[in-house]
Amino acid sequence: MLSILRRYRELLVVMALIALPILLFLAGKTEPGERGTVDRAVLTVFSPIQKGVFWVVDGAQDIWFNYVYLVGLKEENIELRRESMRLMGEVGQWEEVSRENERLRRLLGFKDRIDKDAVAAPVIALGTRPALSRSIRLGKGSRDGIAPKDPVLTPEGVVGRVVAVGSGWADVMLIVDPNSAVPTVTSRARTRATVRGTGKIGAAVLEHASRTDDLEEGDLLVTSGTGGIFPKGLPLGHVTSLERRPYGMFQRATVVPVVDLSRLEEVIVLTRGADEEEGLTRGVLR
Amino acid sequence: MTRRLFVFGLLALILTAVESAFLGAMGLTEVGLSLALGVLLLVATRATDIEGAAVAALVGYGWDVFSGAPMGLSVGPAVGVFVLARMLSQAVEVKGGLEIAILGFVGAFLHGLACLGLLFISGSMGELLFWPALRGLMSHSLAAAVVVVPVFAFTRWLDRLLGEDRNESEAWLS
Repeated sequence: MLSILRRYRELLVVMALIALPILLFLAGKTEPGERGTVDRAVLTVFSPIQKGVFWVVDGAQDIWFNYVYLVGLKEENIELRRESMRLMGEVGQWEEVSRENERLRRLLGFKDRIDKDAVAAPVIALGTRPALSRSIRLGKGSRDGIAPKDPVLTPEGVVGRVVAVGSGWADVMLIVDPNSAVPTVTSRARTRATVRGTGKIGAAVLEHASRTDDLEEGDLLVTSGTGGIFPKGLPLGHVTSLERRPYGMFQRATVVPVVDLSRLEEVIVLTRGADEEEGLTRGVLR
Repeated sequence: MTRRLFVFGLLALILTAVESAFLGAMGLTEVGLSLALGVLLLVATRATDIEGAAVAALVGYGWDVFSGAPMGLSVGPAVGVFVLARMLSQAVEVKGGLEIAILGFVGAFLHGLACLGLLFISGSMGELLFWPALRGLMSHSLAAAVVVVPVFAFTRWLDRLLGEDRNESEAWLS
């Protein structure tokens, strides 16, 4: 027996490395995005590398768009080009500062409107398997008060929820992730439905809206406040491509998120408060 | 276990972390690059079975941990891709950039397909979502085919640097 094991040791090890993780995955009861102690340690170790790479690539883009790219556009007159380049470079930098200022002011204004503790956090990385899941990584974590299940927003509306946290990072499952489901109501008729992610960055689908429910294309969906994750009344998306077939119990519709999830730079995380610890729904918008 | 296993495992994790931050900074939401696939293919052509399978498992672990996907999803398929690539590399000579790129495309596609299948079987992904995900997988695999060549070349260079360790690992396995 031992000799057989020894003889086929390599084959057995390789087969075990294939089969065991698959069996554990299929039998597993872990929440999508949930991370164990070892996983969190790995992410914490690599978080500075990610922040560094993000900073370098982002900075290189700034230099390119504010300086190098402009050089290529001005070949006719050297003097004019130099002068123009200098001015355009300055303007570009001021515009970038202005845009950043505007974004941050909107975030601050939004924070003031929320009756809860909130943390503004930069987006430092994206999930590497967009065909399988939709997530982002934030550059702030538990030492800033962020915890799993915290809702993540922008001034426009809902982005997703925190699923894993380290001391200096947090993973956010976007509302378009196939595992995401958010209870909503329409702002017009208060029709209840669930918005489930499709894996596509710009679209989710509407679930559990019965055929008789009052739904129209263009309806704004806001969070219903049930489910214990998101505060009530946050904009989530608009109903499009409404399909009411002559059979079946439910209507089908596509939901286009109000937030452009492909261009996230900073987000707001609503952190836990006393009411959350008591298991109540989080604060509402003023 | 061996220095090569440690170095290639660490390299795979670093590459995946870098990829994640790079995609974030560039705002590339629709593509994944699977940089670590180059490491997986290199060990499929060079390393011993156990050593290579362990590195492949680490590559899959890195993909899970940095992607937000359910943990354990990518590990088995990654080792499966290692086995296929190993069998292929023993049947035909995998040497030039084109062969590596083709192998990268096939590897990324099969890996993604296996993951989609597992998600489908586990009920995490409805029928509605399977086909759009499959289309996304095509673009992902094409991107992987492009980047796998330089990563493979770099890993091969690293493998040569670690060449003296080969005897040590083979001795351990024999």
